[in-house]
Amino acid sequence: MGEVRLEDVSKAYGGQTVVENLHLTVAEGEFVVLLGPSGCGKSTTLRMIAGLETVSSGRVMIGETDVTLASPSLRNVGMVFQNYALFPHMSAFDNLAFGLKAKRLPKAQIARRVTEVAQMLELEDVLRVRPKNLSGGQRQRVALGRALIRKPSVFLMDEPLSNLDANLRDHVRMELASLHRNLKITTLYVTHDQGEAMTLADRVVVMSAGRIRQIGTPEEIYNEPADTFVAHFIGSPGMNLWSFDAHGESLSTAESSSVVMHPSLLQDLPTSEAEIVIGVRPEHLELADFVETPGIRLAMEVELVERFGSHQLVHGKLAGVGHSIVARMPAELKFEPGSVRIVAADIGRVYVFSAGSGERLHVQARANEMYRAVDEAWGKR
Amino acid sequence: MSLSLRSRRTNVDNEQPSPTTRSWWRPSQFSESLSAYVLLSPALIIFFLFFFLPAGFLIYISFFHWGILSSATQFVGLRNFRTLIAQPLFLRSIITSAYFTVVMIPATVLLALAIAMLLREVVTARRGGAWRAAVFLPHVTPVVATSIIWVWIFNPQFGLANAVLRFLHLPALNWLESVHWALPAVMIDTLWHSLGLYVIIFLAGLANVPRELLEVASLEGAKRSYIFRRIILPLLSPTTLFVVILSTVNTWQAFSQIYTMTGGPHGGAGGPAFATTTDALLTYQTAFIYDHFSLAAAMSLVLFLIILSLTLIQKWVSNRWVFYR
Repeated sequence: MGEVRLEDVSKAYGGQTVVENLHLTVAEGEFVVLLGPSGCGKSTTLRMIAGLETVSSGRVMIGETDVTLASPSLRNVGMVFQNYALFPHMSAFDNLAFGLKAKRLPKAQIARRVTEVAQMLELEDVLRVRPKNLSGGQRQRVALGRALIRKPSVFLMDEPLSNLDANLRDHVRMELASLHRNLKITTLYVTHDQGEAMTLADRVVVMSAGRIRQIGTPEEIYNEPADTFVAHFIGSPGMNLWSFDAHGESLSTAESSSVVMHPSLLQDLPTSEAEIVIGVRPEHLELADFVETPGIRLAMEVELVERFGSHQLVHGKLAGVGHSIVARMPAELKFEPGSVRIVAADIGRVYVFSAGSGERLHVQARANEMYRAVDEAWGKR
Repeated sequence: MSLSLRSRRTNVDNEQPSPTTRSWWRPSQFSESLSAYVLLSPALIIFFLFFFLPAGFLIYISFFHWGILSSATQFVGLRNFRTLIAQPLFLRSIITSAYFTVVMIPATVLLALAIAMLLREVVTARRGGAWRAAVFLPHVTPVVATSIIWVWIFNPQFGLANAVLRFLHLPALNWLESVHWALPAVMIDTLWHSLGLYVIIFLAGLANVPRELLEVASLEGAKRSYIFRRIILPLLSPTTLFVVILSTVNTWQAFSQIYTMTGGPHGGAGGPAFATTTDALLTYQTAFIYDHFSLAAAMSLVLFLIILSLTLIQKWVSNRWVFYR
């Protein structure tokens, strides 16, 4: 029974709360990634599930068992640490066999299980080698194997790829994904790397300052960010966010303005919102001529161009407004620093947030409906 | 220090056409080395005057007949060493020293480690510093002063030690006046006085055992005793070796507490009936009570060779049980 349930879980050190009223259910066999910047409480959450940290309030359930007060050894969880935490004085074999030996299993059974796991993780040739003489990838696999060998009901990973170099990281990431596909162990995975989160997760939990900001599939997190934090944190670079006076002049529907909004996006703004935040992802900005139904059109004063070969990132300012803007553009287009270019994003790609709470204002949903209506009207014509 | 500075200069300096040319004599290099030696000289001079010179002189006079007040010296070869071997008291002093060491080392290591393990849990707590200070305090108090306190504690009539024994319905002991109990009494004092240092060393060693390893072990279902045996002890082995070597050296050289507690009434040689006469104490008595400096020098040399060989043996044996990360 590998379901994990956190019920109103909080953790405070002294007077400082690091995790606040967390509610999360991870279904059996699911791969959930806790994603957030350093110090957001994601590792603490993982450690509370493992039993390495006490819970200040709330309940931790694994399966149908309340493990809030249970010692780590009784929870049947396997954990992989950021630095692998391999026992340096033991061979790979002894590292893998540690948990089984601690449980005093018969030697033959231990040898059989170690061999199985070593075969699965391609570690047969290095079983007699100590961690010091293993490569980064091999250490990683020994740590994985040690956590897997006891067949835990929950698998916890705390930034397991962050000590690997970039190439190896990609490789091991794929291995982790296929391992999970084969074994179907409930997995909680902590990372600050959104790439890992997006590629590995069935669901992503975005955390900040000890709170869950959004839970959703990678697509939901990317396409429907719940607030400005998620919008900016997900994506590389993150979403452009510009705050405007909701009823002021800079946010205009007039063609001559430097920021031109589609009228439908401004129509149903709640009157309580004096200030709103408009968000557009850099990769959704295009030169205005190429956008059929622009939700927003912006005069961009180019300041700096970063070329990546496959694409380029154009940094600049909104002419006349001063907000900074980043646009991801095809590599073949030319952008001269100092020039002003008109860029735009499709109406479905423009997000509106409350400036006060940072929460998404769902005017866009209505805009989308309108957009579809317009489309249909065009189609009929 | 000067060496590394010199090599750094040689590598980066482009003025020198050939990198193979030694450039230590160049004015800038020379002044750098000179200033390094000038800065080091106070320590070097003190070290030479009070360590190397006496040690060298000691080796020298151990082969001579030499008196502190007479200028006449006479080369006697190995006669001092032959005299020593013929002396039953010298052999006995070595046995006493060995007994002292054999009891003290395991007691020191086990107790210090046990206290460090207990303190490890509390040092991070609120009054952790106070606990550490309490354990370390005996070590920084003068050994003569604390030994006098222990003489009172072991006083057969009104001492605390016998009060405790009486409380436990055990027979009172003569402690420092008893041939059998004088050395154990000195051991208790030595242990109490030295333990703090070893506890602090073990605490430092324990702090170096990564927390994650202990966490992994507990997640893997290992019990505390298993974690202690399989994780903590092996990772602590370099510290343990250090403590074993240090306590061996300190125990073989122990003098002040033995002299203070049992030396005075027994002509400075430890007693009763030479019960606490260790090698160090006999050396003192031979030199400063009986004025046989050459003989005492030979004893010191033998003591030095014993400690050196014990240390080398420990180092050699340690290859099998010490794990260096």
